[in-house]
Amino acid sequence: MDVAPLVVTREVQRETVDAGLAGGYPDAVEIQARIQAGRIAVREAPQLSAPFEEVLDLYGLQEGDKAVTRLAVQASDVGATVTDDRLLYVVLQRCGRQACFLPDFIERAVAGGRLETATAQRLLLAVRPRLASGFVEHSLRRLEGVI
Amino acid sequence: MRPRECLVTALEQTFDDRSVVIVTQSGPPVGLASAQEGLYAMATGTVHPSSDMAHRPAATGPEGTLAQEHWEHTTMSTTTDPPGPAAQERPQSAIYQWDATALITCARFQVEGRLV
Repeated sequence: MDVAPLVVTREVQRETVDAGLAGGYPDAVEIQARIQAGRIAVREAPQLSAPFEEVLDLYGLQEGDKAVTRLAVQASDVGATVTDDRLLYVVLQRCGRQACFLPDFIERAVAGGRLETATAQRLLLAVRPRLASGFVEHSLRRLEGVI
Repeated sequence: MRPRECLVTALEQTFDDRSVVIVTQSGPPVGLASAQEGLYAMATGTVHPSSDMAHRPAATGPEGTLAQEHWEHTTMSTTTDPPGPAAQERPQSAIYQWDATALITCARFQVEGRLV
């Protein structure tokens, strides 16, 4: 989370901080501290046009992911959206926006010297339960330099 | 412009900076063998060497060989592993938006320093 300036939508803040604090999750405290310190910016993501919103509904995106899509579509200074959700990844791509799959973001951080390989490998293993087989292994093999 | 031409044009525009065209046609896809390959192509801008797409010489359909024409204009390497995201990194804005689950996963990892 420290490798690049970071922005989240108000909805993501609610999901990660408000709901997390209510559940007693320490990661929520961590995220809240970063928001309060200004290391994570929080932005509103206004609704898109009615047809666009209808399409987002049809995709079956959850509210948080709809907000992510809205911000990606409307914020010209957001270079890419980091996600580990395959549907959101595809929707962002179809909206013509840069989406960075989380394992790829981790690889880039290593390549940029902002994350040690050993830490990246442990982080990838932490991500693995959320992803289908192959995604994390692909990144691990690349970090090992065997492919 | 016929639907197939629209699709091929759009795909060319999408991948033009990577010299790759995904060949397809209206109706059943002929150049994109699976959703996984499609995702792979979107993620990497290349067709996976193991894909039969990489070895498919032409796509022919009821409307003739339009796809073949585009295929002939395509440059595609199938002899080496595709580059990873680090090799593909392009200059872009430094601001990254994160979705909720990616943020939670990394925050939890940062706090606990162990598998979640």
